[in-house]
Amino acid sequence: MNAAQKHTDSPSLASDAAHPSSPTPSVLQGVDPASSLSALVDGEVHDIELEHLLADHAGERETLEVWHSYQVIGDVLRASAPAVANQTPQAFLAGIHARLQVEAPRVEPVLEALVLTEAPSTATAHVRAPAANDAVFRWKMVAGLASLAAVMAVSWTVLGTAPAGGSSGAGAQMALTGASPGMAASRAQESTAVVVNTPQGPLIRDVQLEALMAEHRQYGGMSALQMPAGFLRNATYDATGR
Amino acid sequence: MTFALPLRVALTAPVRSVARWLPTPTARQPWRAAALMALVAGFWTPLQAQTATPTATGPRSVNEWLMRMHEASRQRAYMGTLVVSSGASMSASRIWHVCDGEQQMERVDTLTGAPRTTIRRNNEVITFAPDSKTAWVEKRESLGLFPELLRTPSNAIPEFYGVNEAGTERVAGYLADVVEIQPKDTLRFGFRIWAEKKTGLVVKLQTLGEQGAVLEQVAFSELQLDAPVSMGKLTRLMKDTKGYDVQRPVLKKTTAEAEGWRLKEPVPGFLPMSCHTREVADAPAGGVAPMQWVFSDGLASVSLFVEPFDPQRHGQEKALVTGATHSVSRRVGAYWLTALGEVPTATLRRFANALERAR
Amino acid sequence: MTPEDHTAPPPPDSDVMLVQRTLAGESRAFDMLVIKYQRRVERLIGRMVRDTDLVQDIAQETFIRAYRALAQFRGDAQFYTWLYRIAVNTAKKQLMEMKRDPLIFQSQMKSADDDETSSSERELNSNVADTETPEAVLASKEIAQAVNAAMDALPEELRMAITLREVEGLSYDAIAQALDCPIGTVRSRIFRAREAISSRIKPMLERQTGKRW
Repeated sequence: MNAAQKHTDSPSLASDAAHPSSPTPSVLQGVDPASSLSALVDGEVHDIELEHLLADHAGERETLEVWHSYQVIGDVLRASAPAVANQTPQAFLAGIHARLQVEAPRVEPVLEALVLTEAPSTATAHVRAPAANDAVFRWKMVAGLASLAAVMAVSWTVLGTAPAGGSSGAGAQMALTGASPGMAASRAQESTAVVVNTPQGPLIRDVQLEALMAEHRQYGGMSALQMPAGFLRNATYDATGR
Repeated sequence: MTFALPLRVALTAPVRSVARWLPTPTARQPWRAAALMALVAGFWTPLQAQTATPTATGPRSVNEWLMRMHEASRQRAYMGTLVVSSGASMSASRIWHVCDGEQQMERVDTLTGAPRTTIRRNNEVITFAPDSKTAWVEKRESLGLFPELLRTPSNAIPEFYGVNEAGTERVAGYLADVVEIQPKDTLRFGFRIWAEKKTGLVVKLQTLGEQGAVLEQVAFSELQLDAPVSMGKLTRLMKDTKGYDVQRPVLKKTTAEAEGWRLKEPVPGFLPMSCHTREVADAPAGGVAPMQWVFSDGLASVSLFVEPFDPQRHGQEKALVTGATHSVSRRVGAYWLTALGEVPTATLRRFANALERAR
Repeated sequence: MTPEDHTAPPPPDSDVMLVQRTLAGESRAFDMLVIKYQRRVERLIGRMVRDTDLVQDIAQETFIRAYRALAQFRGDAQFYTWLYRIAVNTAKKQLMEMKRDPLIFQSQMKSADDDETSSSERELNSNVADTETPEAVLASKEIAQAVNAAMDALPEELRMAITLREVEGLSYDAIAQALDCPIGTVRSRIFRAREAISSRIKPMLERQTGKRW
């Protein structure tokens, strides 16, 4: 009776499983996926087990069937929801998928297949959701600094629409074309700063600043808290600096 | 089935919470009553660990806490999922960590945004970008500094930060001590840190701004301590750069003085830590790579980037913020300064005002 | 308005894991979240809106908005709390838009009396949403009865395990300590209990579908 026995059901979760660097057969061979689903219902499953469960069984209809059944059982025992909805889960899901595709072909998360090749990437060809990062690198103006706002109001050109940080409704992207009013828009200027209107207010995306941010993260992390939190945090969204 | 209630039964939180259900009709669900009895009859108080086991030496000082947190990550293997969140955004990554007494290795795979795998061994770091088949290899000085940082006589941390122990909470399934590190002035931010109770490993960290606002949070959403992470595998992964364009950015270590800069007035608590420039080849288009001058007060870092002023790229002064990182950019004579740091804007302005040419 | 799930044990971490998997590109993980919360969300919306079809519509819209905003979900808040707010906002927005036509609005908007006054009581005593079709209401009752019968028929140790988990909300660790057995045994017992109950209700669940997954 101790916590070390937490994963006795899955003796094959050995060091191999810790580094899915090459295509591997399921390290959970012999484990009934329904058993994993049961543990998942209870939140008692390691992320790796979930990853393999999805990698190996996501395409099977039994997966969702079993999951649905277990959820119904729990809801009945707790009286937290009716056992049956007006619409079957399949129909409900189908409606959601259909609307997601029809309403907004370019809405995030846009699922573009990025095939990650061999080492050191992960085993499954991950279809990656972009730009939860994007919002991270949008800078906000510090309250009280009016000069930038003035520039925004005076000289901007609408480049086009871009999806805002995750919410419905697109934002207009504007480019800061210069420091002083009256500058002809046709003047060849590298505008490095782009202002995006989002529901959170105007956010600024500044490529140069982000490059410096990356440098600051990499070489400026002189902190007692750098290990592990600081380093890990930097590695988690270092990406756009390069 | 009958249970004789033992005398020393402690009613724990879950049992207290279910007690209110007893009035509801259990006729339809007789097993619920039986389950309750089993709970109460057990000689079990799962929250026992939470009763404070007072340390032999009393509350820890801020240095002691920091040492403990640092040592924890050096001595345990673990893997988990890390979530960095700030405002409305969130990034996540998968983490593996292992050590063998001398070597520390880590692997970080981003789960959001651009795919990146970062592998570190001590202070050598390689970052793989599978989408562009590029890899960057670096030696990061900042990773080797601690704990020497704490042992130097000029260690400013206790002078500028106080510590407060604020109870216990669960993070990612582990009980953790909540430690608040509070700034003694307004030039820096505070932190709230969750340190796993047994080992001291940092499992959650918040950077706190004015009125305790959470500017950024880094937390394990899922963690397994003593995970079977293979150092051999990580070493092999680190070396396997086949098919990748490997770049080795080279820094030229220097001093601010040699570059012709100084601060006419120091900013309290912040000491200069390092200064470097880059080889010209690495410079962004149309410019010389900025000099980077790094300061730290032990917990917060500030980088001053200085480059010649370029009217094409440099405009007006601006002050921006993302997460916990603030930035102030302005012209200083014939140069352009960008100050970045996890400190309030006012602090960066003080740096900017104090920066001057030495010759 | 706060989520009135007094009866539910604290949501497990699997929600956060499924969100992360979704953000990593596994849309199946999001499907699982939808399946988990479809009925709860529909019941919630059914308290604000009368029309059955509209309830479904708003429920779907809720999940769509959640999907689009998933990157903004903070890992440390409860997923259902976040989803709940989206559902309420979506329903309100829909009702506001319909407000322009007073006839429709009146017929759609539930009166305050219909609503939250004894919500927790209603939760405990009824598994049924007000906007359910008669067929769904009947099917729900049948399935609930089958679950209860299956529970009665379970061997004691399986029933104990699943009750402590689903009803009392204890973790595997806590159950293992309470029952003085290894955690692996807890996981296995709960799994076997679910399998046994599942086999009883599976034909009923399939019957309502008509078509296959």
